[in-house]
Amino acid sequence: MPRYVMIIDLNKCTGCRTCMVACAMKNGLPPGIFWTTVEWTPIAGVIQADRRSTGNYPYTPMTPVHNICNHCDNPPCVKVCPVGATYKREDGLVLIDYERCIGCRYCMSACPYGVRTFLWEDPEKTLEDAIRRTRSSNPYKAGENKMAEPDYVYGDPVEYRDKGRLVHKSVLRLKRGIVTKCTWCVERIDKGLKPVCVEVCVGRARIFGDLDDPNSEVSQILSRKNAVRRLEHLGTEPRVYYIPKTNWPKVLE
Amino acid sequence: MRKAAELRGSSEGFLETDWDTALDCASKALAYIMRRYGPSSIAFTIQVPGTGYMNKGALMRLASLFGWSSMHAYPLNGDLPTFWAPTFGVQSEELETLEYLNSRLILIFGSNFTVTRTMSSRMLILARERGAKIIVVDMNYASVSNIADEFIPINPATDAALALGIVHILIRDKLYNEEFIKTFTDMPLLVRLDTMKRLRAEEVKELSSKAKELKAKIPAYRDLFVSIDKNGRLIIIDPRRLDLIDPVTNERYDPVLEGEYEVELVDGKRIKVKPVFQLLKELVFRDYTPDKVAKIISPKPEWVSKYVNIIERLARDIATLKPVAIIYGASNWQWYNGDLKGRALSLLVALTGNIGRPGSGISTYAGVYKIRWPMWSWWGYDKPLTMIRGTPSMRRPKWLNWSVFLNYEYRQSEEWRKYRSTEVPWPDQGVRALLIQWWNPFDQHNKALILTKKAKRDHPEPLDFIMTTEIQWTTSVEYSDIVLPAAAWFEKYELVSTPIHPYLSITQPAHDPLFDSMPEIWIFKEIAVRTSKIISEEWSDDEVKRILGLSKDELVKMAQMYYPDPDLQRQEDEARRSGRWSLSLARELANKASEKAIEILLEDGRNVTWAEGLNVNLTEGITLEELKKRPVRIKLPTPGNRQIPFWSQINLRVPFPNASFPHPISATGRFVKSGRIEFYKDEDVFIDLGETLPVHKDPFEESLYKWFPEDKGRYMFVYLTENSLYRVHSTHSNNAMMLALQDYQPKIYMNPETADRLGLKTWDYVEVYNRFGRVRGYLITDPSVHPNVIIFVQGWWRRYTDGTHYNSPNYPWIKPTEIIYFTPGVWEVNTKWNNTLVNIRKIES
Amino acid sequence: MSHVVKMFRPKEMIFLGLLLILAVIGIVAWIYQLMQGLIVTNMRNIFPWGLYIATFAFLVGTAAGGLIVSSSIYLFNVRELKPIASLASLTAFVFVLGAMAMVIPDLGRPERILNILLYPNFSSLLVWDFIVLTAYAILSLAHVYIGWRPYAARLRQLSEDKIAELETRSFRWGRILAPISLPFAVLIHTVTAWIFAVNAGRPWWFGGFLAPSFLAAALVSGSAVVILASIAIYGFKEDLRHTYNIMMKFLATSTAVLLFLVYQDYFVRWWWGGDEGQILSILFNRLWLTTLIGEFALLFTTIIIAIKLKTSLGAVLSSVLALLGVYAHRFNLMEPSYNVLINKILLPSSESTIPVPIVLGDMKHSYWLLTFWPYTPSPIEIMITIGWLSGIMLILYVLAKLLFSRR
Repeated sequence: MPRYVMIIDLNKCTGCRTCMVACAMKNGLPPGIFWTTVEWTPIAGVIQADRRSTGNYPYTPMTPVHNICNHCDNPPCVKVCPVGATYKREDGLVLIDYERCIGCRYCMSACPYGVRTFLWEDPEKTLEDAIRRTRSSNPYKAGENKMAEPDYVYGDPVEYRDKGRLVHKSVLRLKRGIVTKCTWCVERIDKGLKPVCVEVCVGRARIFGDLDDPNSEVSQILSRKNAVRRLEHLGTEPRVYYIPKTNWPKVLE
Repeated sequence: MRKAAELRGSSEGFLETDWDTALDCASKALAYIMRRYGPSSIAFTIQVPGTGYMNKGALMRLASLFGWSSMHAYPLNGDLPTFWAPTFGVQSEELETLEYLNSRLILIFGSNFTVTRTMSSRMLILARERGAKIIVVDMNYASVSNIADEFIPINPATDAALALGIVHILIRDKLYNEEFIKTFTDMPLLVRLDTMKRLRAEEVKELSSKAKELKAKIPAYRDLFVSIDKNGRLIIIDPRRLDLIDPVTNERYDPVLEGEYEVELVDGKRIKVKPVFQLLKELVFRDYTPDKVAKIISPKPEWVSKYVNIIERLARDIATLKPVAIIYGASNWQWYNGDLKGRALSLLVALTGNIGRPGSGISTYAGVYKIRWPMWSWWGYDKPLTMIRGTPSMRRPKWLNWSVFLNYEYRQSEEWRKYRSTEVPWPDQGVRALLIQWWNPFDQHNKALILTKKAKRDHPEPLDFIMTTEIQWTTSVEYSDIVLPAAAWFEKYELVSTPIHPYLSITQPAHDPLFDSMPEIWIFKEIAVRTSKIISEEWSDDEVKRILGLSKDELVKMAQMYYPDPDLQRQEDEARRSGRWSLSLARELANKASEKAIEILLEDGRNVTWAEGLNVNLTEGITLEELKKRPVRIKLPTPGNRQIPFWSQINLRVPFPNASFPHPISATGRFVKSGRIEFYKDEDVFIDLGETLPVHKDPFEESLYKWFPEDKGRYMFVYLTENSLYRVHSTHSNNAMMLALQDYQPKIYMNPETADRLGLKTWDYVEVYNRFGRVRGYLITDPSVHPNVIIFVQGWWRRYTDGTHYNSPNYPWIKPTEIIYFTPGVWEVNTKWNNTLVNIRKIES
Repeated sequence: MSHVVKMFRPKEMIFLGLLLILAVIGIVAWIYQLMQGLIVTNMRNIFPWGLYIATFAFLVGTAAGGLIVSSSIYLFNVRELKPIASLASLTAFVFVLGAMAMVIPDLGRPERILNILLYPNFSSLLVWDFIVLTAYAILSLAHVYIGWRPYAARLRQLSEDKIAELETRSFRWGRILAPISLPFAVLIHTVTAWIFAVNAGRPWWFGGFLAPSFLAAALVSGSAVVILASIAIYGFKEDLRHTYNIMMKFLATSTAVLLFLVYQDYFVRWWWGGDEGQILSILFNRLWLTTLIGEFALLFTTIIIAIKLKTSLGAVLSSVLALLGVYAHRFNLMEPSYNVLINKILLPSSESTIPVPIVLGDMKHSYWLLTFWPYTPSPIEIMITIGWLSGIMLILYVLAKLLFSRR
């Protein structure tokens, strides 16, 4: 059984957020809801990723801050779920059975990483909110030509079941009241593919693979480089490794 | 939108209508304007042609038929780096990003690569991992700095000073590549000290007769210049090849670079001359000592001594780490003196011999502007006309420059009359109609709100007719009289290439066009057919001949030959007659025509003059069938088809320049008459402005302060309209995901210390303004911003900025050096987005 | 039916009518929430539990009354409390069911609630809480029943012998049940506290402190509820004065213990600073109303009044203040937990750290990624909570009146 891990090399991240948007597009997340986030050194309330820094001009190095489900080996969310909707697979993926979740959000209280997102309303309504904010005075009108698909929403149109349990479905096709989160693209992994955020990463900063395979890229990297995991002292045993950013430029030296 | 066409019925709004009505209306309007003001008064642009050679070419084809004025989008967008033509004689050149892996030193001057070339920034990361040193020189700590080894902050628009300071060290410590500059550059050329012009061989007594002989053997656009060797012998520099062979004796010579000499002219007059290198040396020794440069570039006086060291170190890095690649960013050259900066930066790679070799050179990346080969078989109407007339004929659009179009005031000025070459076009009757496709000028190019004023007829040169073909409801759509819904990228065929990757690829319909939208090839075909019909019915024979230069019969026949396969037109006509016509049939035929057009385009690339005496087949073996499967590398004339600028000049020794398509060599060869890389320019305007050699100048002295002296000291901040990570300029401004990524709020960035001084803080609603216009947004204080700079992240449609407008504080400055020639997209007036000073104030939202 | 109606005086009818209206408003608000989703609350991803769960924790505490009275009588032989024993058990029964009902509006998918029975995950303390609360409800009901039998016999005017026999049997059963109920009574607070206390990622909750403090809070609110219920049903009668005195003493003592526990905890956190200090800063700045006024001032006044003012007014006042104080204390359970994020990164240009931001979960604001959510309950949350509380009071009052009003 493989032991999947993800490595995020912050030295290679350009902060472009392609991973975020690709994830949202594939998983049908409405704008503003992301399962993984990236931004440069956050300042309260300012989220734009292409310009943001701290310090004093010109000494203003930035750090890309990623967040994604850690698929912990000792996942608090799995432990607290009263109905076993959140569960851990043998290969390490922490998944949510969308059909069993009762929406108590105990897992969100338990998760120290804040990676879970609850569907507070029907996601298609969130999408409507987002579209309303575009202030379009002339929304597209469907003509007589029937070539347009009226019910089209983006996101993977196919759902995926893991041993009968519904663990992947485009969020825009889900109804409110359940908790969702990063699945590491379980349906892709089961086909031998990599998660979509890894696939699209511009700097190849996100690396995914099997730690039990000593020849895998992840094993090689972890044997060479100093990687850290978030909140390791809690004993959650996260499976996402971060290689801290150290390669900032010299400035006026 | 996209319901079919929309007509602006009244000031209140649009009238939704069908294709027939819209196209007939458009055709009538266009015919009317041509009849009254002439065809050249209809102006249009094909934006970023590389993103669509076929459909964008379709509009060129239509314009060729009638003789409309094409405004080259490259200078219009401010993407044209105006140093290339005077220095290298080309439009632009760039290393493909894969070549970074061969670089040892990558210098990035004002280019936020991670944001503006998102995907290609991977190559920078890889290059760094392989040991390349990356240095970012910028006024702001842009996000690209995070993947660099060093960030050097400098004052806005002082890159030329830094470059010349480095040149000072290179010359002082003899760190330059002597062999290279003697062979490939104009450094050994002699300059007359009396006129400051370069010495021509025919002026020199002892060379004049030989020069006359030689003159007959070289192209008319070349000149014979003179150098002097160690023995004091004057030598004619052969513009036909890049080596140190005397064309008279066929012997090798070694020209001197330094010193002052006396030469006797044909008329017996003795004059003093110096090599260009000597002049450059004197210039940098006098004005660009590290101390002086450090004072110019340092944002704070207390850092000056650090900069002195940095200049020394940079010079050593550039001289010793090879290959060196310079990335010169668009935001950096979009200034009044952007050409000077480029010329100065080119010196760094030229003096050290970092040109024409893998992983080296200076590159500019802006826009998907590049036309990979002349495409007139599809873009022009040469072939149909030749077929009809039976004699070789040419039928192509006219040209026009955007800033010239906008800057009415400059056209009234003394400077314009003094320096304007007759080549620089301006239609007799002005511009009366604007066709907008693939761009959103009412947000993106509305400098000083001139376009809005023209549209509202509140301008001495108003616009009578505006027609837009669009895929979304942009601001420009709102100002248009007719709006035609176009099919989007993956609803039609298209041939695509970019300057940064030497590949050809196509897009294919993955989906039928939504609603009633149609591929542009069909739209323009219909306009060609309908307009020619109206003209043939309503105009007299004489009028058609006089205005269009065609007979009625020729016009109608040519319109029928718009589709590359006239049989497709016949099928559509037949279907219309028999009532079988439908949108789907029209689309099917348009798709077939598109495929055929792409094949014609590929055909044009089979035999291309790349440089003097170097013909190549760029599309060898590339077929539509193959492109349907995968992108294919263009067959560039380099080993491995790698895109290495000037490889053929340095390695095959063919003279500069290589062709800038679609122009023939003659159109651009004249910019570097010596056939070499030229740093000394002796056209009158350069002498008048003191820019014979690259120098550093305050960008506002000759622009804003010259025309509005009262503005000196009035506006405090440089206004930078930064590209957003989340969209391509203003495209997708209304996309919910893109908007979410920016909080739905237009943001204005400023240094916190400056903001403190002005009593402003993060999330204040502020207005940035100057005499030309204003824009509103939310202030974010960010220490990465230079203390004297205000950044607005561009792309927001007016509906998101309270009706204000981020390009309204800009002005279409024209530098006289840009109007002494006119070669579309190569030597033209370039838009200077960043040459703008503003103030900022808080407003109550 | 008219017989039942006649039991209530007009003033009571107005009071009950008011409760009924509030309960109906609560149900309507809940239906609205069911239609719109939990978006109508002010909870978001960063702040997943709010007023509902705080109220749930509060209500579990108020169910402690049964324990206090019955264990006092049967285990510690405080016979003076015998007259209110059955009523106390009734409050426990109603409040424990009320607490469980309070969770329902918090669920995103209430229709799936049976999944707890179908697929219980026994590592989840929510499941164990469900079990102990259910057990406690059953035990409370048993207490009510055995207390009610002699009472009902008296009402039916059975023979004194019969009544005496029933009373003896009731007492015997009470003695048997008490040692069984006591652990469950302790457990409901403990397990409820553990729901929060096991979250290692929440410094405000994590650790062994929460269970004792929950227990203390339960003793306060439980005894206050019993005092109020007794006064409402039986009045402040002379023969019950001693009973009330004992209860008020108990109230004062447990309030003092609660305050002690809370403030010794604050001291430790204040002394250390860091994240713990940030917790205090939230408590004393953003939450000053519930911390200083609600928790501290009200509970402190409770102690004074309960000791000094041994009248009917004193009893009512101290109990009401105690309940308000404990409710404020419970409200404070949420914010310092969610708005102090421990998942942090080090800023490159300084020594300071900042939390990794969390996706908000809606598109109603112009920001969607944040590290702090200034939670205040939405009107719907308040309506539903008031509705639930009113409903509980209504049911308790009616049941108490029907079962135990005539002595």
